[in-house]
Amino acid sequence: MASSYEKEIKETGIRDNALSSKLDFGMMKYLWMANPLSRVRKDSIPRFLRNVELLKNFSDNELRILAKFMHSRKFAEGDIVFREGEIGIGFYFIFSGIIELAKVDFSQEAGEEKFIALEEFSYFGEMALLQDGTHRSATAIAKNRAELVGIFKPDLEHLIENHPVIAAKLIQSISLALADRLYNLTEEASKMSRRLRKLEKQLEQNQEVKI
Amino acid sequence: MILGSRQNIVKIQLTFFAVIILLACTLVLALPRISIPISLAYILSLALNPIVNWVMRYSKVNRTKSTIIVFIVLGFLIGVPLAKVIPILSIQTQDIQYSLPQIERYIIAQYELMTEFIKAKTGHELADGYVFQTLTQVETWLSEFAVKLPNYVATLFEWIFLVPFFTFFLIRDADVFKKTFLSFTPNTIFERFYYVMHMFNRQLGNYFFAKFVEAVIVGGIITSGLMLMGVKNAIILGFVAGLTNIVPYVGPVLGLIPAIGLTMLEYGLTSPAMGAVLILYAIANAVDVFFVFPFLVSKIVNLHPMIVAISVIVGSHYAGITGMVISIPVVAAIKLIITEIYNEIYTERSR
Repeated sequence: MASSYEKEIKETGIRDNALSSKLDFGMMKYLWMANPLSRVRKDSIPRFLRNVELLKNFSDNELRILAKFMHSRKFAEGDIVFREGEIGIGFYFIFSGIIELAKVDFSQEAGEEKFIALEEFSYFGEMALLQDGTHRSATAIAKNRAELVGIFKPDLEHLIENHPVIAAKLIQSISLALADRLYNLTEEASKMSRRLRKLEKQLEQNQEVKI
Repeated sequence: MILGSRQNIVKIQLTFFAVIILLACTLVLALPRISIPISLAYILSLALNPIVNWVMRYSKVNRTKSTIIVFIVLGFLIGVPLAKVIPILSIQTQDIQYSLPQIERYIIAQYELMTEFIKAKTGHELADGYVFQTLTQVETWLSEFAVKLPNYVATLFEWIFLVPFFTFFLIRDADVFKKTFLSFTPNTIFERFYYVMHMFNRQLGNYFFAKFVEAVIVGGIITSGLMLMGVKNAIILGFVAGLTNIVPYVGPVLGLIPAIGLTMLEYGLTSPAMGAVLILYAIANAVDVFFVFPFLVSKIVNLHPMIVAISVIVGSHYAGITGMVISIPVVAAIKLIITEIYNEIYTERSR
């Protein structure tokens, strides 16, 4: 979890270069806020983001900048974050509370089927950031009082313009997660198709035996 | 209790939000003295935002500093020609003050000569009511204008201070304003609202950026042309032509007026220089209409010419020249929002 700032200072020391005499006030303010005795904003967004698995390759300073581009949204129990089929532009992290993802299942009479419940530090809706004008593939509902931290397409555009490195890291992280998921899905799909072929073969054999 | 069910709370949130937006719109319409400089500042901030971002990225300074840098450079670019123009303007206003009675006397004398000529030739006397009526009318207009001039100057000075002031904070604190505004957007419409707002801003920003480039091109052609011809005040005339070019349709004509005035004073109305100046303005506008506009502005604003004309008229009716400048991008943005809502209603929900 060594941040790039610490690394930079260390390397300057090793190379025996003089440290910059210019004070970085933003950084000082951040260090002041981050000091362990300070009770101010203990549960601030950058601290929360530090604990998100997806953002593990971000430095503390990068998370601080990223947090500036995010929006905190509060949801009451039963509130809908987004509906299946809507055009989505947002990617959410769960700051607190539980979010349930549900999909309308037309084959069942029951209607909506809740298939997953997400807890703190997990994320959802990441496809919306990468796709263009596509529809949400599930409905997200707050199971209890929840607070989400979201980043939206316009924010990503600003991030790309103003902090290209951080934007690239964010997109890389999302792509990695998606690639993992795609890999698992492909595995699953190939497993299923193998199984299907096996079943088809069995069926053929059964029919042959009958004849 | 009203707040009993969740459904009611959502309704109340939406109503509250709608009331705030309506209130803001009412304030804008009811207080033109504030809303016109704010809209001008908003437009400027949208056009300058890409430049501030660019400075921020390449000079590695924070937003406040890069905004200040852009302001200083821009102040220099506008201030220098302005400092040249103001003394000339004041001299010319004095000239006009002295020459107006002369012109009046000249017209009356000419008219009397003509009346006598006609009377001698045909035996009829011309009714002279109209001429004197028109002259007194013009005089009243001019004196009214002179009386109101301090008011205009006061407004102008107010704008000179207010517009950069608002623009500075609109650029520097754009993110803060946006976040505050979005924080009380109800959850049910948040994503769509944010998206539409973003598209609206981008549309306006792109439009004014394109207009800015267009103004620079037109101003550049006219300045260099006038300089080649050796006309005095080439830079000022080019600057004015570029600036007025922002106003659709009427702008090019407005930009031509000072050029005709100055050339007339310098060389006379029927001199070859006048013809050359007119041809130069025609060329600059032809370049604008046939090359710059189709490739730059119309790519951004895809509106039917009839709608453009109507929106310019409506804009000028409600907010004068500012209205003419703002009308086209606002109509384009409204079109965008309507398209978005149309898609929402007819394609999303009815799938």
